[in-house]
Amino acid sequence: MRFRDIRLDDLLRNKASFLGLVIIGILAFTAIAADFIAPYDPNKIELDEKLKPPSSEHIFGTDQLGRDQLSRVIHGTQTTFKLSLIIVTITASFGVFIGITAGYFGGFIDEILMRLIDVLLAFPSIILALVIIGSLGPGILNTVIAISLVGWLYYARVARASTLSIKEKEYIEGARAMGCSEMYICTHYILPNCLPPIIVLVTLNMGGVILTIASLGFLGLGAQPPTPEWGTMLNEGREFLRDCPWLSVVPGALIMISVLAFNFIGDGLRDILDPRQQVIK
Amino acid sequence: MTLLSIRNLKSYFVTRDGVVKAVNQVSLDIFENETLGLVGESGCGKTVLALSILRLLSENTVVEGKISFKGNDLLRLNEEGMRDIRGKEIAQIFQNPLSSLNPVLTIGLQVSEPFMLHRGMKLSDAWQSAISMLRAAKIPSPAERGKEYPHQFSGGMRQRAMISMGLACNPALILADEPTKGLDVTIQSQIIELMRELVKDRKASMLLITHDLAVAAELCDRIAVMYSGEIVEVSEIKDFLSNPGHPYCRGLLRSLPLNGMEPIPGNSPSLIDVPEGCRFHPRCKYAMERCRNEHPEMYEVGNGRKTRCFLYA
Amino acid sequence: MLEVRDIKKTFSKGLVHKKYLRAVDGISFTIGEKETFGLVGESGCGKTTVGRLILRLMEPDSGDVVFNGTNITGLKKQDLRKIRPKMQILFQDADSSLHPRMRIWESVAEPLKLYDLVPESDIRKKVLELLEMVGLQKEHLNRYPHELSGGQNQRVVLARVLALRPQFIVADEPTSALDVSVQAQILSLMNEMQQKYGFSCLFISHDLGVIRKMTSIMGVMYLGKLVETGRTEDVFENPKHPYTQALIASGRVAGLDNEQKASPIEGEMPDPMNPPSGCKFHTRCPQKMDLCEKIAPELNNVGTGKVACHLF
Repeated sequence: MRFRDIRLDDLLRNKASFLGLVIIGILAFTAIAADFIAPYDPNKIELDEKLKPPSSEHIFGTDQLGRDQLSRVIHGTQTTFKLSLIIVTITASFGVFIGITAGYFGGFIDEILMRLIDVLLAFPSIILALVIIGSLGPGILNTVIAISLVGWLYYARVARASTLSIKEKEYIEGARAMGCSEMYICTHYILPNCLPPIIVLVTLNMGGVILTIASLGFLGLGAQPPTPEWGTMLNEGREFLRDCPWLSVVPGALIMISVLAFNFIGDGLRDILDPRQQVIK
Repeated sequence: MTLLSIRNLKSYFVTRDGVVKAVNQVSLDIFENETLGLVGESGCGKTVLALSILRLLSENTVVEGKISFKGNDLLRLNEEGMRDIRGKEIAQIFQNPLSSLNPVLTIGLQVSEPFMLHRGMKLSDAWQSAISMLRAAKIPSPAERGKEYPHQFSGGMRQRAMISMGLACNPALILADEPTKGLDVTIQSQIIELMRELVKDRKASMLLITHDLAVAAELCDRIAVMYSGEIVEVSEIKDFLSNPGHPYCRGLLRSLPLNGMEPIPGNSPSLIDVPEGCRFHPRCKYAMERCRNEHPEMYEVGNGRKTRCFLYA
Repeated sequence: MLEVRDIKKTFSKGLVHKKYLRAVDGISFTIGEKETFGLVGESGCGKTTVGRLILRLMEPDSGDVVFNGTNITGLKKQDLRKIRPKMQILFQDADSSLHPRMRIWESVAEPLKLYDLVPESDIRKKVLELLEMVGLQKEHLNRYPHELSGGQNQRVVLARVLALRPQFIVADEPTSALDVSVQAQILSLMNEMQQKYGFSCLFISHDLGVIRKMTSIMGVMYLGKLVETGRTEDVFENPKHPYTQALIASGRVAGLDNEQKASPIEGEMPDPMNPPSGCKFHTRCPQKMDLCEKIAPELNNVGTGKVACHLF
């Protein structure tokens, strides 16, 4: 099997991934520049203006406290992206560390870590998250803890599987014969070579994490009002669904679009990394 | 008598990096009751040539030219006509029997298949014929071993099973692609012995594709050498071994360990970007001005020998 | 220089019904300074395992490997790492012996950096020098292994290994995946480098022609045991063990060789999980006696070499 790097132009060639990249690009820009592009303060209450339909002044209308909906979704994007990035970074690095350790050293360590993962995977992850938040109390920090606690499992499994196959390659044996330490082999040889499937998993996982954050927010267990967050906003808008649908539709649509965009990119990456894609028509 | 005649065959693949000219203007005849060796280094297009004959190449290949076999042009035949030829008239023996055999069917059943498919036999009759084929391929206690699955066979035994499958319908032509690759030397000589016996017995012709000159020397009557998508020499095997014509063939023989192991300098060119003029000229010590600019034809050298080299023009 | 004394390695398979595979069953030989020892045998005879055991890429169950007077089988990890650069290995599949994400120059520079062999500023120069020595050019420096051919990659591996100036190299079928003309290129390069650097070599191969060309002494392995050792020319001129005779006969090529082709030996190698009693070759041996089924023959001095066969 030949090895191919992920190349940006390959990704752009795929229409769905291209679309995904564009959407994520816009959302990421929105998140970073939220303070500058939001027309109003997201938490400024103006009860005279409450529940206004979309207009030139308030593009997405206002909510029950008269806060500008557009500013709130812009800041909500920031909240969601910040949280999911933190969670994915924690889970991916911890999972990859555990996976490589288990896969490379094998034997007893592997046995213990893998059984632990099997046990944790036996719990439905959202219920586990609910239990954790239930005992720690709702809030952003606890959301991060609850999702991260089970989120690393898949990374560990994928990293372990790639490590097992990379470990058998001649270049690892050559590195050992050269006198490289185990640590050096893990960081310089195993890690870079098991990254491609991890990168795919990260993009696909981003969508999942966004969805979980929103679900917890919707249930009132995630970000707490008045912090603007898509799931929380969805929950707040629920009461006014009949009269003011914009309050629910906008954050709902954003959740869907961002999850979809990440999945598009993930699928595109997976296709590129598939060695069977060597010869194209 | 000519059994299969290939004229100006081109097989091109379109890839992102460019057009791979795997087979370029190849003309070749296979006579009745002969074994022709097609020899060349990996990536010279020899396997693509064999797959072009059976039209087994993937969709993104462009195949042009003419392949006449018993009055049919194989490249113009419809898919149904092709199916009648594959396995029945022209059989194939692959290089990797483990992945070419179906892992979930018994060996006996797989050897029975061509009998049922092309001869319309019932399973019980086909099974009997299959067992006698396995016996002919010298598989010990074939009735019992026929009930076993491919993974229970050793590499040599699997290749024997593949050979019995290929020969089941008494094909007129056998395409054998590296049939001894990956086998140990002692097993390799057993398989060569078996193929020689079975093919000669049945008066079949064989196109033996190999990179191993030793295997070709053992089995072939004539040899065709391919370099970079072209045939560069066609010759009787004896003449070839004692006095190769084309400088590439001379280099190939001299690079064998028992002939001094003298390397040919340089690398084979990629099939996307072939050199101008004679394709071998960048590595050839006899290269003349003409070799750089003109593309040589196949020149008659005598005794049915042809060589693509200006030294013989 | 290197002495291997009665090394053994058994692999086990299965948890409940354990099956044992004696991959290497008591092998001893010595390799002298600048000498190349050839190890021949069919696949599954344990020849690759021998190479791994000598370098301690696998731990032997018993036996000793003495390298330059140091018994390396008992060495601790730290001490072993000091010896590592002196003993190197070349693999069969050059394409997978290089880190796929490292550029060629990085791969060759790695051992230099690891052992601080040249000052940081001279690394690129030294890498180029090494690559040019093995017949590659400047243009290859920034390529990745998948952009080069198998033969070129094997040259890179050789450059990487030679950067450490090893005293001993295990060459595990370094050319069996290559075409003959490329094989000839790589093998003559190896000979040239051996002249220049003066390393000893354990050359593992199934190809008798290559063994004959590359080695001065050799050993023939069958099912984990050496059946014959001796000077390469003597073994080829006058093979004594029936298995060696059969191997050499099947390696002969009608028309290319002047000698007549002998008929191939019958049968296949027995299942190594369940080896035959007595002499392991007796199931295929044309000169089998009753004794062979019962007692395993020892490796005894016969003429200039050693043979494990009851005929002698």
